[in-house]
Amino acid sequence: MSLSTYTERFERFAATLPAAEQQQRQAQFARFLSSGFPTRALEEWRYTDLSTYADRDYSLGEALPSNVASECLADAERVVYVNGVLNTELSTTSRWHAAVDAPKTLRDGLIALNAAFARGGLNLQLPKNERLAAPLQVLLVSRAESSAVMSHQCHRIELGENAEATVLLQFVGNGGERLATHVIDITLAAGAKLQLYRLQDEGSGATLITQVEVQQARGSQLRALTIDLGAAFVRHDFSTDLAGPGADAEISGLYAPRGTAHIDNHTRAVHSAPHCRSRSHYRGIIDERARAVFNGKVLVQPDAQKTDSEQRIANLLLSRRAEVNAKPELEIYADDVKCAHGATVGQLDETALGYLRSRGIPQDAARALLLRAFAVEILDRITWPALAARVAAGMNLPSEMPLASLDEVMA
Amino acid sequence: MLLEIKNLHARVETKEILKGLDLTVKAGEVHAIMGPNGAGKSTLSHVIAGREGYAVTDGEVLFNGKNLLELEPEARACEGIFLGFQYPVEIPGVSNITLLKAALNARRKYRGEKEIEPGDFLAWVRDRAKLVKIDPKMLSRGVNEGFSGGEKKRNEILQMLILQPTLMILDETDSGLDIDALRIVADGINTMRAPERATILVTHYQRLLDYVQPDFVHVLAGGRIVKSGGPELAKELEDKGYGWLEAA
Amino acid sequence: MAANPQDITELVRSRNVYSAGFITDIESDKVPPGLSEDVIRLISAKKEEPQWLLDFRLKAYRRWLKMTEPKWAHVEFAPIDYQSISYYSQPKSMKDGPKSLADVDPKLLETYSKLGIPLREQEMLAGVQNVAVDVVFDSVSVATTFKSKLREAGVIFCPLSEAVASHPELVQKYLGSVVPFGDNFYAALNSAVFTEGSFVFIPKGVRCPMELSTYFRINERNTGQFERTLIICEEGASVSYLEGCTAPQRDENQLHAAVVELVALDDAVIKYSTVQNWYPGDEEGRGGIYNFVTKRGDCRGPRSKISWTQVETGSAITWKYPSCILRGDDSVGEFYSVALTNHRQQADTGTKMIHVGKNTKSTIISKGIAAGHGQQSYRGLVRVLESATGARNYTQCDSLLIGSHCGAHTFPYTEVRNPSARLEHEATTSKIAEDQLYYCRARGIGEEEAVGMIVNGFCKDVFKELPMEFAVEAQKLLAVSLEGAVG
Repeated sequence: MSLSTYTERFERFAATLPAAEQQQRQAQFARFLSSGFPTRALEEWRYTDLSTYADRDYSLGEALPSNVASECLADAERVVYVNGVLNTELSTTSRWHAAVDAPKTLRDGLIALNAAFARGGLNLQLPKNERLAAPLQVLLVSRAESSAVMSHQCHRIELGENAEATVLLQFVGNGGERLATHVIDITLAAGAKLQLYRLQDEGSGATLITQVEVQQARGSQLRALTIDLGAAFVRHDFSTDLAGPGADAEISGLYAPRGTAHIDNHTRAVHSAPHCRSRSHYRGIIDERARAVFNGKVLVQPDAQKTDSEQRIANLLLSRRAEVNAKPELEIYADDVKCAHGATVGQLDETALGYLRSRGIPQDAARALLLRAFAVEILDRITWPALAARVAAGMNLPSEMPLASLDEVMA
Repeated sequence: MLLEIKNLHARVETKEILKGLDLTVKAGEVHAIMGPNGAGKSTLSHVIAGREGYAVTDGEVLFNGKNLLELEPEARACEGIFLGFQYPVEIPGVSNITLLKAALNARRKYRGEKEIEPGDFLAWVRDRAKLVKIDPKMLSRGVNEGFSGGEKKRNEILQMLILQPTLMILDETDSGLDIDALRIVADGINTMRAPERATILVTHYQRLLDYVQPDFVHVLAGGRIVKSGGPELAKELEDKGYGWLEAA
Repeated sequence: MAANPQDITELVRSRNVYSAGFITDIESDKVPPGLSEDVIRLISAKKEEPQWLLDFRLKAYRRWLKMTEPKWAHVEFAPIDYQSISYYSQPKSMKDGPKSLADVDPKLLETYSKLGIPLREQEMLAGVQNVAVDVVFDSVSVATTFKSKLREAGVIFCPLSEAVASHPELVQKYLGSVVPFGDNFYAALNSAVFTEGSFVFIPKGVRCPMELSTYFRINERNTGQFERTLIICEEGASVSYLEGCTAPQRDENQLHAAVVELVALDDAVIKYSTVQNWYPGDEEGRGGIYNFVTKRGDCRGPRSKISWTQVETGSAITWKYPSCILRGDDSVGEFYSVALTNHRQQADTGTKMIHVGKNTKSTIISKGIAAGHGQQSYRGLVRVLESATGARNYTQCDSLLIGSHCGAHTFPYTEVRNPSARLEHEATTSKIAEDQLYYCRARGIGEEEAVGMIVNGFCKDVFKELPMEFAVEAQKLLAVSLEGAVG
């Protein structure tokens, strides 16, 4: 493993920093050099191969002009980053931006890389009982023109007691080869409520690595939903520690990779305190030559009695060249628990398809209806209509008749 | 001539089920096809509707003079064929109302008509749902999802009433129904009787025919129509069973 | 109202007795501890092996030297010193080889009778079973019963070393063809030093007239047991094979690294059942067997079927994944497992189902029970290759926790590369249901018995796959292993 190009880039970057900061960055970069990119020998990286990244050369991304108008959700406040640099023109607020920040802990080589190069990002701090009036859309745009580009950002969300917020982290991009890493540290104080969406619709050429780490105090509530579309090479780690009694986490996701996309989702719910509840529901639709990986883990610590946890993972494989690897794990060290998981892999139900066609619905439309039916369990959890519409459009799914109006007319 | 079946041979996997079946149905007629289990009654229904896995090895099926066997199942439906399934399929996640709207608009598009107005559509569905005593609330649930056996059959009839086909094939629609549900189903079928339409009732028992009077009764056995007659034939079958036909 | 975990733990502590933990006082001929090419040559020479087999061993040894122990299993143990193990041990009285049962050391026979294995054919005939038994004591096979009756049917059932001499072409053709010599660390070690095991060959069209059985026992201190079993069923043949294991109670850990290879040709059926009751160590985790075993079946022919059933109650550490390679179209693989860990026992066990052929089917039912400080992991892989159109898998793995210091873990891997495959996986983890326990006790059933009933009910889907006599034994074994663990 050479990593020499990263060293060159780092030295150039470090020279631009104040002396005091340089030292810390050097240490972080040294950590990256000693760990390197994870290899497939590591159980956690069994199906995702980053071995070729050591020899690549990415220049540190710059603020390129970007047109993101079509991605703007009307009812949201917006913070926009292009190649890791805040774009104040496209943003509606800069209140939640912090100039410099670094991940709390350097868990592995990738996070060390992120820490060494991190150039600031979202910093949402809500005091006790405060509620974010409008949802916050964080647009993270990656663009590469003539040469390969990388950007590294660290974001932080801290909600005080009983504070509430809805945040969307949205990853879009275009152009040539690009690498982006994002570390998102989240702390939820007692009774805080966070609705966190992550939408990835990157094009080919993108490598996106996102790591979300949540700490949940007593009675806090996390609703996290992640959607992966597009054709990128993606690794997403989502981990939450239910550290206070009564904490509750619902983690769900939908991935629909196409082309030669590679989508690797790793989720982890750690029950450290008693009486917590976690749900993890993921669904995947894998088409063309795409590859999906899902690894879900529920870890119940010795004192986490009365844990209630459930993991469900379902995959549809639509093409002969598509592939899925799934592993829903349980690691349990307490006895008074209710833990279950289920996983399925299959294809579209031919009988249902035949039934729809016998009613006159063309094959493509019938397929789309069934795909929608499969995805709806996750899509229905999007409680933000503008976002739901954006996702449905991104997946080319037919819209369902609004049922509220149906009830009115039928009554 | 609405439907003409000539010398139809069909197989499922390697087994030949239909072995030279002939049947002619004119507009305005109701035909009952009866026969012992395994005679090929359901196979006939699915071959007409175009289900995959049924291979026609010989013969032809013409619908309004068109070669039906060349058409995809959805095109057959749009041409006006409706099959009421013996075992209606459950499709969680696709609501009944979505299915109905998609099916109705597919038919209109096929005929070059524009999509139905949402208000008109809902009114159309509401009135017909009443006819078969289906709670409109059930329509927002997944197709046949969690429906009882009787509800599934009534839902088939509802789809038929909404789609207004010209040839209705009802495959064992009467099986497993109590007397009230049977009446509702029969009323639905009778509502659809018209000079331009025809009905094929595929059934094992005489019971449904007490409510829906057929013009012709055929006995299907060993993959062929072995006897045809009027309504009195159904009575005879009810009394004597199917054994005497094979003996004859 | 319900079982208090403390009481339960107490009960486990007071009640547990390893009833197979006696030591047989027999002089033995043991190769000094240590492993080298010379030791391998010595073992091979003692067994008067042909050159090709020695070459096989040496190839494996050289590969093994370059390998490292697998680290991914959810088990912890101090490093094993492979140079402190003796790789060959043979009771002295056996040196010239017993010609018949009359020549077998009476003390050995007594050992087996203590284990409840009726060794003499007369006893067998008088007893309930119609089972041919091969008994492996440390490194050598001491008796194979019913040989003549099997010979009439064309079945070969004998110690592997005997088969090397009598049917070299069969052994050479199949040995290492399912588990290659360098398959994994422990399999490579076994390939280098394996000393005994059974050989079964069922010719074309023959249904083996009786169940075949092997009992393995480790007796000698500081020895490892490295047996190797090879079962071949030709076209249309079938066999049911039972394997039992025990070891004496000793303070130090002993290594058992076995390899089992099954080959099923067209339409052949192999049913392989194991009741594993190696010494598990004491309640503090001292001593016990390290059971690091590679078992694999190859469904080579169309419509063949291999079924693994295991009841694992013994061993300090179990590392074992009986697997099926479903190569033939329409072939079937099954894995039924009950694994229990009590005290400081650790088990990482499961299966691999590799779907290669079309319309291949596999079923996995795993029941894990953790009590005391036991750690229990199910690890299973279902892999569907691009060629395996129409593949089906159903997996159910349930864990039962008894007491608050144990752990139960599930690591199911699924890898699918064919869109027509259908896989279903269900898993649950829960503690023994208090309401069920209370209900039984309210009907006057003692707590211990009630727990036994509930645990047996939990394992029923697996027990019903065992041959009758084994099922009874398995239930008893479970009750003994659980004594105290459950009230």
